[in-house]
Amino acid sequence: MTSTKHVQKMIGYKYIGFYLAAVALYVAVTVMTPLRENVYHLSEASIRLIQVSFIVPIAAIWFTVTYGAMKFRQYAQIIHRADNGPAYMAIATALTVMLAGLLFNSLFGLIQGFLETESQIRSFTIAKNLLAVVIQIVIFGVMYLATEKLLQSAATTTTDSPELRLKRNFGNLAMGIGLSVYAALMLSNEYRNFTPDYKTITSFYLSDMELVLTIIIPYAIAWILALMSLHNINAYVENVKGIVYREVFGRVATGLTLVISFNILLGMLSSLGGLFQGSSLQAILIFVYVILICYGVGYIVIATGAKRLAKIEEV
Amino acid sequence: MSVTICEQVVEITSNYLGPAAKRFVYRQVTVHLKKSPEDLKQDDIPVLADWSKVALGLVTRDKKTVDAFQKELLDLTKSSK
Repeated sequence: MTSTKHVQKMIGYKYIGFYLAAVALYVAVTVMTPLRENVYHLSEASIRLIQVSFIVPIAAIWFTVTYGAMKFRQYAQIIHRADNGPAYMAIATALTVMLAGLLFNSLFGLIQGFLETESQIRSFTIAKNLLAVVIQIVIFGVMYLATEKLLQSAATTTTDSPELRLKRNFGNLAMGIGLSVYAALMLSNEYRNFTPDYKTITSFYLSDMELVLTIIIPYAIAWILALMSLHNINAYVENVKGIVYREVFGRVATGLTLVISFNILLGMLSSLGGLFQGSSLQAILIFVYVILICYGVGYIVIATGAKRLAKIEEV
Repeated sequence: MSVTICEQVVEITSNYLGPAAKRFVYRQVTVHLKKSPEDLKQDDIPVLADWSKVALGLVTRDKKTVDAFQKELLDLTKSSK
């Protein structure tokens, strides 16, 4: 067995081991969570059924994300000594941080089921929301730095085609509109500062100034870093040499675009969650699952692109 | 300073495989021609072009691109620098 194959196997074991541990923890905590009064007035049996039905698709989505991050890491390891090797290693790290963030947020959220008093829920909610925004800033900060390295590895100077400029301008406009709508929705939530019933209606338990300074502005920073990462990825695809290489990396770029975009959407939805309290459970579940599936598809696309890039190093 | 045959091959290959070109060429030369890249000669180009065509064909289904790549390599046998 060659050294390279051994390293590839060890990477695989680490990622799969991490995934299995996360799933086991999720199942254990879900089963141990005490059942309480819920806003949808569901019976104990119904809640247990929903919990079990959650585990299978969530485990499947977590697997696709783990698989994508693992495959990209394995490819980056193959070329880590090449000129653009460090850039690919940095992207692999960013994808792994995204995976860790997804798992951590999901697992941390389960703690709420064990809390009883309003002060416990208040403290937990504030901590959860702050952690979520910190995780987003870390994820997109790492991704931005990684894509900067990638772009520098392509050329010392880059040129923007009219098409690239159009994409950039469209992206900036969409982000501007998205952030404005997001801020307006956050500040229009009547229960943003307090809740009349902590058991059924969620709140941020923050003043408007605290909400702006600790949630809205930090999320805006994170998502702008995400947008800048997307710009770098598009610029890299346009400037990197090699028509076949561009075609193959294009798939990775598509996957990264999906992953970054849906990560932003997930972050927006999780922080706006209180706005959907009046909606039907079915509608909320379908919407969340669709986004998670699209997020997972992005990682699968990254994985197939990474496998094709690895093929170039094998033939 | 004159450009070696291997450097010319890498230059052509980089138009197709970009950052992976040098590793690709070195691998074809060492594995299939059983020689060091620095020892690559113009007479080796036809065999190298055939192997490179097969290898690139495993990476992309675009037959036109693969044929163009092989042709560019074979044109090296007609020129000398």
